[in-house]
Amino acid sequence: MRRRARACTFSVAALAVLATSPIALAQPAHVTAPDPISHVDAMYPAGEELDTTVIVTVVIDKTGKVLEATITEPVGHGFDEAALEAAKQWVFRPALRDGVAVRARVHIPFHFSPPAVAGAPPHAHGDVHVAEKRPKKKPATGAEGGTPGIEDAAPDEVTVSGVSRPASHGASDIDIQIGQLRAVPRKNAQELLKLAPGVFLSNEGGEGHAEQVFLRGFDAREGQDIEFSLNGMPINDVGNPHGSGYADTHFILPELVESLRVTEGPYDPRQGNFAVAGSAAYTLGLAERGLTAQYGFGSFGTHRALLLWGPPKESTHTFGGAEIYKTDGFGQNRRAQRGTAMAQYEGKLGPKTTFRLLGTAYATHYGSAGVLRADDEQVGRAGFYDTYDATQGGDASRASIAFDVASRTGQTTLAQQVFVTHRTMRLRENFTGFLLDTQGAFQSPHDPRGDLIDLDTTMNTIGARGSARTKADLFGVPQELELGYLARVDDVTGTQQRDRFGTLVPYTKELDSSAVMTNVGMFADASVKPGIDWITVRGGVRGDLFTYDVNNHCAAPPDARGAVVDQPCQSLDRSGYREPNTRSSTSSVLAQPRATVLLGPFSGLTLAASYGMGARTVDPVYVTQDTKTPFARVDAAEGGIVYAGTFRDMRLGARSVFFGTHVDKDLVFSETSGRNVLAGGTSRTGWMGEGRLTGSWIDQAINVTAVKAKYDDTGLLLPYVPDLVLRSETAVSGDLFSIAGRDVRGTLSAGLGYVGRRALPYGQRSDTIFTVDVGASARWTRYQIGLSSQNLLDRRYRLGEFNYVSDFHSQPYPTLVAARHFTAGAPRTFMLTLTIFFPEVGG
Amino acid sequence: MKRLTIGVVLAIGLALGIGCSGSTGSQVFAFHAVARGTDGASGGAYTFTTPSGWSVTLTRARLRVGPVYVNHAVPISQSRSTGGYSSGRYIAQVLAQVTVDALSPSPVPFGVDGEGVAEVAQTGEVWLLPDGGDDATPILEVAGTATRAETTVPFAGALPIDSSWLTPASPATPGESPLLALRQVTDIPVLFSTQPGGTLVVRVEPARWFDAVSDFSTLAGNGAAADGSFHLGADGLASDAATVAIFRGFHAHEGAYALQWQAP
Repeated sequence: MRRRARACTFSVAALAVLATSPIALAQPAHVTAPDPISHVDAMYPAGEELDTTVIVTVVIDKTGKVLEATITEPVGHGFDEAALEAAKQWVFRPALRDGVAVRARVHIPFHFSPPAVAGAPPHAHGDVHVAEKRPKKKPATGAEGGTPGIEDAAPDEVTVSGVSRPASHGASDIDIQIGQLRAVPRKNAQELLKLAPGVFLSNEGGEGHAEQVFLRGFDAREGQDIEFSLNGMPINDVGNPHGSGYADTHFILPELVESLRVTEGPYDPRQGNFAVAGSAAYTLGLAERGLTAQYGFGSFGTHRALLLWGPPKESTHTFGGAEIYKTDGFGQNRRAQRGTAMAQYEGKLGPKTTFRLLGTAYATHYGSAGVLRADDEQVGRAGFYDTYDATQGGDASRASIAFDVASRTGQTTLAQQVFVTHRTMRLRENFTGFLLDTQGAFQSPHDPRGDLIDLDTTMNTIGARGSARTKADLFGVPQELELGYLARVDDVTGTQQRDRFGTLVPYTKELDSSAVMTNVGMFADASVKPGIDWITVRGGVRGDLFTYDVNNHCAAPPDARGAVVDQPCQSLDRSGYREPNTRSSTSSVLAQPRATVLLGPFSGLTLAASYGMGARTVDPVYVTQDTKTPFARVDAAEGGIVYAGTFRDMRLGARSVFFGTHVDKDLVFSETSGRNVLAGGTSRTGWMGEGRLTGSWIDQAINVTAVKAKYDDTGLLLPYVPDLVLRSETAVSGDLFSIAGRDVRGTLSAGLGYVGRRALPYGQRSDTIFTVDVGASARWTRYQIGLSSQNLLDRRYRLGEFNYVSDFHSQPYPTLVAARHFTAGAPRTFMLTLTIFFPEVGG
Repeated sequence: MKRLTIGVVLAIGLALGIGCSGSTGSQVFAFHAVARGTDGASGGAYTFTTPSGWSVTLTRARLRVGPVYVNHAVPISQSRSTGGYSSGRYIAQVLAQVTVDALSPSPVPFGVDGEGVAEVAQTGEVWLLPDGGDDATPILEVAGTATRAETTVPFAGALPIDSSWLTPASPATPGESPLLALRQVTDIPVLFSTQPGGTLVVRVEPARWFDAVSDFSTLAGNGAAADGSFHLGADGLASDAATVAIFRGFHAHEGAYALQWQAP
């Protein structure tokens, strides 16, 4: 199996310089050289160690599209193909002669440097680039097709990056390049997950609430079973009272996501806490250089202003972005506002050392409609998009900084990252109406006051991770070994109250706690070729120490005579006076072996078999003194086949995987708690298939996952998880017509999603979901207009469906038997966006 | 290649077949529900003897019942709050009220279908709620004659369930005796399996209402109507002993009510 890495060239910057360089000035005064608008990184050929340069000559037509690309200075070893493939995807602002677009030819030197962080963790330091200045090259000259040509020139300065990602750890280790599928309409970065097989997203909490993720038969809620990271920085909230592992990715601007690595299963030793169903590692990057300003407005009073900036002379990993968003929302109580800012600088500390500094800030305030009873909607007591409780909603904020550095010395690559995150979250949800506030003896007489959960938490995280990867020859071939660690400390405070219906006045307190949790993990990951070229064994072991120090400030309920009436947190129990708090601390160590065997490739086909053990720490509320195993354990195994090749001029990838997992302590949704709670053991078996065809004018991805998830003890199905998920995404682009000699480039995109009938409690099945999202855009010179629609068919569908007991006082008598509830999916929405590009800004 | 294609198609078919089968167990259904009086009467007068030796002949016994609930579990002692809902899991409910003639075995439909899930039922609840929240709504109406030895006590009256029946609460536990708890007859023992197509039958046994009455003659202090019948007390817990005993009698969770499931 080949190690993959990416090399990108910053000829973008260089070519922009061309216009003002002496070379450019040598052109006729009224000639402007072609200027790159966007460029695509080349992939560093796996298994290679060369530090080399490939010169590609491209012919650019009047629209700025690459007509032809040829190798001028080949070096072989896969570098030529990688450079060609990348160069064909570049888009230029065409060359001008007397203000008229003309064809032109330029040389692009792709410099490949061995990755600084070979096999970097999917969630750490990640992309690291080594920048080098290249010597000036003499300009070549040429003309194209009888059109007055522009003399070719190589840039006088070239910045080159070597970027790596970890080697594949099985058939379910999927590296998703967003590419042209960025055009498919999406609301946020989390929806990029749909490019991974088997992912279904739901949301009953409002636009500022993290999406609920279902993956391969897991109800991962808001990330409790999926490890999320951004450029290596952990996203999951350890100890969040709404669910430890809660992962809100809304702070990520989707336009800044360069790629997404989704590993479905715990097969890579780098995967840490919460990687039960798998992990999702976002990598940031901005291909479009210069300043991009976008304003969008659409249905239901939705407005979005976006600014992106990629300094032309810097790498694609140096950028800034900010957005302001607001919507009135469809139906009742779905308003939302948010602001996001992200910036990253990538620089160099020496010939082989790079660093990256990332900062993010995000805040949102939103309303939520919550759930509706289906019987109320069916008889007209409530509208499909109505709400029972307009005080539902929430607030969230996040600020984080990450700094990482990587250097390469000989055969060893060292990487180190530190990160700090501050998070706040307030969440108000009412799943059960007036069901839970029964009269207590130590309470003043009252009618049911309502079940609104009013949760508030503040979380601070500080941590570091690092790795050392080295190579050595064994059996006559290079073998790899990486050692790494993660250390993080999370300090969390949280309260959960219940509020009187419609007033936000709290009447009782269910939780008041603080906790400090520490995770120190270390791993060893080897890639071994036992002397046979087509056999590779990857894997190793991960060890984690989890510690908890929990202080429950409300540990004594009113159950003793003499208790203070109506006070939820007492200083008295049946033995007399006591302080109202209880401390609990514990720790535990877990070793998790993980291994993958790869056979091939044989004509592009690779067989893979993997096994892995993973873990998810439990919520602090479940921790008692010296709890022996404060984590759930998952065992996963799979076998599959992966194809990577070409179809005509397009890249074709496909995979088929059969998988099975077992979790000893699963999480199941509890409507009374408003979140997932611990349940017994569960098992899953299923199959996943995926394919993607990528060419210069088309990008087509399709995936399907079928899974059966059941309880170990009863053999009954696990509720809520979809057993069939299909997704298709398509983007096509091409030149439409010309205006003033400049072509208008159009893009059409479509996303189709189908979710089968999900199992619900009491033998019920949900409705199916089928949605169609489409988008169209046209770009002329620096202007672009786009129109997108989500749920184009305006299907009225239930995004989330539940079957449980609630009493919203919608009927004359208390409703105490399980009934169908749902959260409404969005109706058809339109969004019109206007974008202006200023590629010269910052150049 | 052809073999590979066939293999892939078979694999997909197998996976889809596996993925789309199975159940979470149980099922949800609607059912018919009725209420009726004792088997011992036929719509006319009903005579029985109380444990304290009174021969009682009822000429009128009407009770307003509903909603009705069935629970999968037997509540554990102390697990119930002092008002509200039981622990365990409710598996059937009839969200309606009906006035049942306790002297007639003819079933009276509740007027709406009940909702249930297929489970084993172990306890039932009959709630005795006033009409539209009006506390003055009579829940029980009775008329009859009680005779023991030489004593004959004709009586007639109606009993609401209002705050006059509340036990004064201790300041330390002001929520110990809420009104809602008075309006719930809980923990009625049952044992049946709810199944689609079945009918829930709520049977009222009026004889049990009088089990705790030791002396009907205390009703004499309440005054009499024109026909000579003594009124039931109107002062709640401060009423005469017979009235209080009758009030407690129709709250008895054993004997006064029986919940049965009639299979289709």
